[in-house]
Formats: sequence, C-alpha cells, structure tokens
Amino acid sequence: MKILQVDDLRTYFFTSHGAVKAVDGVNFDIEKREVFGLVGESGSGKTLTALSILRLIPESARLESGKVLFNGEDMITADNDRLRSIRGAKISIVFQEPSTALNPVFTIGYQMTEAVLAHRPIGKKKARDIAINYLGKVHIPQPEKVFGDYPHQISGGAKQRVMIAMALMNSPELVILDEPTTALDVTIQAGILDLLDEILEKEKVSMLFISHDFGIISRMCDRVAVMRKGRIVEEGQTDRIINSPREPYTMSLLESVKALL
Amino acid sequence: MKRLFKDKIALASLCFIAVILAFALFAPLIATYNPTSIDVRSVLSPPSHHHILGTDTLGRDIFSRIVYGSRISLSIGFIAVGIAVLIGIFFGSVAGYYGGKIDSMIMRLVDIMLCFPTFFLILAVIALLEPSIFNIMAVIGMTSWMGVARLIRAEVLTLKERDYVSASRVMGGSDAWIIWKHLIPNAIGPVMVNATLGVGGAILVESALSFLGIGVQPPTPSWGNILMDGKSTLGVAWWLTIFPGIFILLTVLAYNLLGDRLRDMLEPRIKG
Amino acid sequence: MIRYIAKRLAGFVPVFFGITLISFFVIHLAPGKPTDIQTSLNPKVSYEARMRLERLYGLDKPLHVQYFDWLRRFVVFDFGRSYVDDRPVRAKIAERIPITLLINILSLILIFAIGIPLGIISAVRRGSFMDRLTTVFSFIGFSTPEFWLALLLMSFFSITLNWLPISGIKSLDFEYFSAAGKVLDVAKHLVLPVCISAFGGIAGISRYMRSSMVGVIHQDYIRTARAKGLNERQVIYKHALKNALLPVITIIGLAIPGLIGGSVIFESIFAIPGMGRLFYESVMARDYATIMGVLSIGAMLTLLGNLLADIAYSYADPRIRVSGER
Repeated sequence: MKILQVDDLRTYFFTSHGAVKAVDGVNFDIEKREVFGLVGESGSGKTLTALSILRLIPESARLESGKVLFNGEDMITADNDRLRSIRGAKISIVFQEPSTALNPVFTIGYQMTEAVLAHRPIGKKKARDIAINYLGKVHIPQPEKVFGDYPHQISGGAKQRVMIAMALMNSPELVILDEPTTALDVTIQAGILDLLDEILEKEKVSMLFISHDFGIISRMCDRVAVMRKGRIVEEGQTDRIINSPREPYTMSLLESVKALL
Repeated sequence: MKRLFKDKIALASLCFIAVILAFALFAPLIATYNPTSIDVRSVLSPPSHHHILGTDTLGRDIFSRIVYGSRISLSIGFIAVGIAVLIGIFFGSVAGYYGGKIDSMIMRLVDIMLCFPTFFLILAVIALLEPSIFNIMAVIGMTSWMGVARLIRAEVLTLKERDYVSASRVMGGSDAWIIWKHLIPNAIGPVMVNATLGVGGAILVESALSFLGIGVQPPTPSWGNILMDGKSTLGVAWWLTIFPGIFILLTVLAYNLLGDRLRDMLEPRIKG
Repeated sequence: MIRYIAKRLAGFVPVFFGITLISFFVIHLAPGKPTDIQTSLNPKVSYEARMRLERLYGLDKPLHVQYFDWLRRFVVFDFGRSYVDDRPVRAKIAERIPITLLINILSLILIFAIGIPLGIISAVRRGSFMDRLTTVFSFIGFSTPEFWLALLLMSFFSITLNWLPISGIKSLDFEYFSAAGKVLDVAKHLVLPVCISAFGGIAGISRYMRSSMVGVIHQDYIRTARAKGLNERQVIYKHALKNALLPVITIIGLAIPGLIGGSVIFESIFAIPGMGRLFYESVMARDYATIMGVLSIGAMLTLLGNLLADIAYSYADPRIRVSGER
C-alpha cells in the first residue's frame, strides 16, 4: 500500500537571473510503515522536495507541475483548508535547525497545545496532557517544567526532541524529517537517532528521511533514492545501493563515506 | 552604480536634485529679479507674468528668492552633513580601533547626545551664539554625527576580526593603515546612505530654524524664512506659503528616496 | 529581568552626568564679553545681564566649583530665576509641562494606533496597491516640514472651513462651558497640533513596522507554524506580529526627543502655552536661565522615556524576562 506517490514533481525558483530548476522531475513512492530515504549533497533539491509535499515552499519558488498523492489524494491541487487539516496531523515535518524552528516569544507548552488544538478542539487541559505525555515519550526530563519554559531555556538537542514530539502528537501517518540531526552535536545525534528507532517500533508511522549523510541513511532507511541537481539518479533497497551502486554519482557519494560505514 | 540609474525613482530624484543644484550654481542666470530688491508697488501680488510665483510683503520676487534660497539650503545641507560625517568617522574609528574604556566612553557620549532633543539643543546653541550660517552648519553637524559613528565603529570592529587584517599584520603593515585601507570600501556604502538621508534632515532643520527666525536672517533668502512671512499672511497670500514649502518638500523627498534606494541596493539580496 | 533593568539603570547614571556636563558646557557659550559685536538679534550683553549670569552660574569661580554648584542645583531643578519676569524657572516650566506632555502622549498614541496597523497591512500585502500607497504617504510624511504642514492645515481647517480654532488651548468663553463642553473645547484646540506632531511619526513607524514584519515572516518558526496546520490569521497575527512588535517598543525611546523638540514649532505656531513655546520665547528674549532649565528638563524627560521603553521591552521579550538556559 503506497502512502505517498510523488509523480514528476517540479519546483522552480524564479530569480532575476532566470529560473532555477531545483526540483526537476522527481518520482518516488513510499510504502506504508516504510522508512524512505532521500540522500544527496547540499543543493540537490531534497529539502525543497520535502517542502513541496506540504506546499511549504518559500515565496520565490513555485510548484511548476507534478502530482503528490497522499493516500491517493493530490496535495498539489488540494484546497487550503484541506491542506491545513493535513499539515501537522496526517503529515508532519521536523526541520533541520531546531534553534530557529520554535517561536521565541511563546512557551513550549503553548506551541505544543496549539498544534493539538488546531486539529482537535478538545480543550486546553486535555491538550496539555497530551503534550506532556509526548514530551515524556521523547525522553525530555521534567516535562511539566519544560512545558512552561521558553525555547531559549532548553538545549538544542532538547528542542529537536520537542519538535519530534510535536510532529507525533496528532498521530500522523507520514513524518518527514529534513536532516534532523545535522545541526546537532555528534554526541546528541546518536540520541536522536535512537529515539527515532524507538518511535518506529512503537508508533505506526511511515517516514521520509532526508540526509546528506549515507551513514545515517544506512542506519535508518529501508529504501533510498539518490538525488542530484533536482533529479533522482538511482533508487532501491538501502543495502543494495550501498553495496552495489549502479550509478557513478552514487559511487562517488559513497566513496566519501566509505571509511565510516 | 549602474543599477542606480536603472531605478526609475532614484533617477527621478537625482534629476530633481540636479535641477536644484543648477538653481544654486547658476542662480544669477536663472532668477528673474534680484532677490533682495524691494518693490513697494507690487507688495503681495499673486503669481503673474512679471512674478512667476508672486511677491512677498516687501515686494520681493518669490521665484528669485527661492532660486537663491537653494544656495543656502543646499550648502547648509552638504556642509552640515560633511561635518557630521567627519566627526562620526573620527569617533567611530577611534572607538572601534582602541576598544575598551575609550570605546565605552565614546559610546556613552553617543547615548548622551541622543538624549538631547536635538532641536532644543540646536536652538539653544544658536541663541547663545549668533545665527550665522556657519554656526548653523556647525551645530547641525555636531548634533547628527552619532549614526555615522555607530556605523564606522561596527565596521572597524568587524574588520579587526577579519583574517586579512592578521595576515597583513604578519607581513608588517601597521594596524591603523590596514584598517583604514579596508574600512573605506566597506563603510562607504552605508555612510553614503546615512549622508544622503542626512542632507534631507539638515534641510528640514535649517528651514525650521529660519522659519522661527533663528536661522538664516533676512534679507538673505532661505526657503525657511520666506515661509516666515507666510505665517502672517496666511489667509491672504497663499503663494507665499505654498511655493517655498513645496520646494522644501520635494527636495527633502528626493534625498530621502535616493537614500532609501541606495540602501536597498546595498542590502545583499535575500537568497530565494 | 530585574538584573537587566538594574544594568540599564546603572547605565543611565553616567548618561545623567553626561547631560549635566553638556548643559554646563552649553551655558559657557553664553556671550559675556562686553565687546561683543552688536547685531539686531544679539544685543550687546549689558553689564547688568552679565552680572546676573555671573551670580547665577558663578562664572568667576574656578570651573570645577562651578560644575558642582550646577550639579547640586540641577538635582533639585533649581535653574534660578527667569530674566523675563523674575519668577523661578522651575515654576515656569512646571506650569507648562503638563500641556506639552499631554500633546506628546496623545501624539504617541495616534502614531501607534495608525502607524502600526498600516505597517502590518503593508507587510502582509507586500507589493499591493495598499502597500505602495502607504509607502508613498510615508515618504511624503517624513519629508514634509512640520511647520509648513501646520500652516497649510491651519489655513484650511481654521480659516477656510472655520471648523477648528486657530490658536491656544481654550476658547475665550471657556469658563462658561459645562465640564463636557470644556473637554470638547480643549479637544478641538488640540486636534491640529496633535495630528501634525504625529504625522512624521506615523510615517516612520509604519515603515519600521513593515520591515520588522517582513523580516519576521521569513523566519523559520513561521514555517513551523504553518507546518503545524495553523491558519494564516493565526500565523500572521499571533506568531509573526508578536515578534515584529518587540523592536517597535524601543523605537518609542528614539521618538521621544523628536517629539519634544518638535513641540517648539507647532506650539509656537498654534500659540499653545507649552514647554516648547516657553523655550522659544526664552530663546528670543535671551533668557539664559530658562533656556538652560528647559534644555535640561527636556533631556531628563527623554532619559525617562528611554528608561520606560527599556523596561517595557524587557518585560515583553521572554528572552530577557526569563533568564537563559538552565
């Protein structure tokens, strides 16, 4: 059962120097309960692909053409209300940079309950319980206190855990993670990856995992697609790609990480 | 630079400023009358063939007075800003370069100066000295250097950290010279923006002073003191009020627009 | 937050001294040499006036003694007696301050009430007709000489239309009005001055607010807000706005000296008995004692305003109000 089907997606930037084809005909599918990886260098278009799925692209970009079918429904042509009901509820996303992803003038608790109440009008108290529950699930110590804290009061790793908690609170079907550990210390990275493993075991989610790091990809993903300059160059089971890559570009990418794998 | 000329608004502003500059430089050729000659017969006459913009309470031709007035307004604007920029560069570079106590003291001075209602200060000083054109330029300059000082200080501080400064140092250049050499190309942009906007501001201050009677003294024409008559003839001679004011407005507007466009061009484009 | 405020307060002390020093310096610019060239506006300072100055400021004593005397008197606001009517300067200022403060506060309220929404709309509908219109108005707003605007409006509203009174703050038959009538009367007199005073400020604030908003809208946390499924109104008016408003608070601090200084102009034009007009009158009359008094008080008011703005900011920004990482 395919939960996500991306069909010839094209997202272009329009600058004074002409159009930049950042996502130029991308095709892939994600099966239910699968962890699908998107790997490539900076600028390959992987982040923009992820943002295109939820139509969160920057102002200077435009979804030029293509389809993104979520459980058969096209996200590209869905109306705004439908899109909003899906964002943060059926499909959620964790961004790369935790330090800027949270609004500095609202408490963590406020931002979390907001995410719940946007989709389920169950009242503040119940929303608070859910939030604290999930803060616990992501192993945040003293969840009640953190609930009332402001983002600047907790560490980067903790912030990313909060983001993950927020992404899970509404029991989404698909979680997109855009380089979730890149901005964190190496020592903290492992902790986050362990947490994600745990979540995959306990919750019934599918994941789209984006990274430039083949090492992380090999640990987390069942299947992976290699992106280069807006296009997918090669795709397949992670083991196969890593052990017998077919494309020269994939091979060169792997070369640089060989020692670590 | 080229982009500046492509921008329609900047271009329009530059053209207007050029016109006013022409007024100032070629005043005797453009003005239709001697700005100070009194003609009792045509006191307070509305715009006509003889006097394009009318005459004032002493029969002086307003158009000519405005043309000559441009000299005053522009020169005060330029020189006052020049003084402000010089003072600002001095304080800013000293503060940034030496750092520590000297830096704190200078920044403290900036804070203090910013606390004084500038206009009050200028009025007080002019009142205590005499309202000569030079005094006006000097005082306006001495009360508007703070912005430039902060800019320059920031630039110097950034430069101190830069690698090429330490590299040059290794090769034997003196600190001050290096910083100076790198400072100018980097700082010139923001300083130009500040200066352009400053000219507009200086013109406003000078005209306000002249309007109150504490600026340029009649019979020397200044756009501000022409308006002084406007106050007493309010319901009667609209041309005395409207025309000088429009010139002030348009000139200051031109400088403000120019400065704003310059600033936009200096800002690195937000990457799409 | 307390620590932040304490630090800022500590920072204000040297500024206070600096103000006293600069005012002190300004006093010494007063011409005193009997050989001064006489111009129509700078009458030769007579022997008597010079003597008064000397008595007031002790100009014959050594400089540091003079300064401490000045400082001592500054702290109790003793600025001597006015040359014009020999009343204590302190009293003259005290009776004028309320009006100036009233006008300035009303002006500030108007500036924020109109300027901020304009800035927000401009930012949210960037490039639209509304945005461009607002931008045009802003530029014209801060390029217009206030006194000219005053003259124009005065001529239009007071003379041509006769809707609003020309000058002063009360009509001649003020005493006969009912309480409500009195309020209305004062209000009518204040409309033009407040509007004119606010004009430039509105222009400035709307531009500033616009760029603040635009800066905030591009932040990551706004993307997060959308990703959570919040609707546009929540995203803009809750998440973006609160962040964009913060720096605007500090602008109040910067706007105050401008407002106080500007009061000279329109108080003179509208014959309003405020501090600005007092200053102008003293300048024309070379009443040095009052000049120094108003200048110093003006600076202190600005200092106070900045302090209030600082405190307000430290309360509003959680990053300052609540201390950092645990």
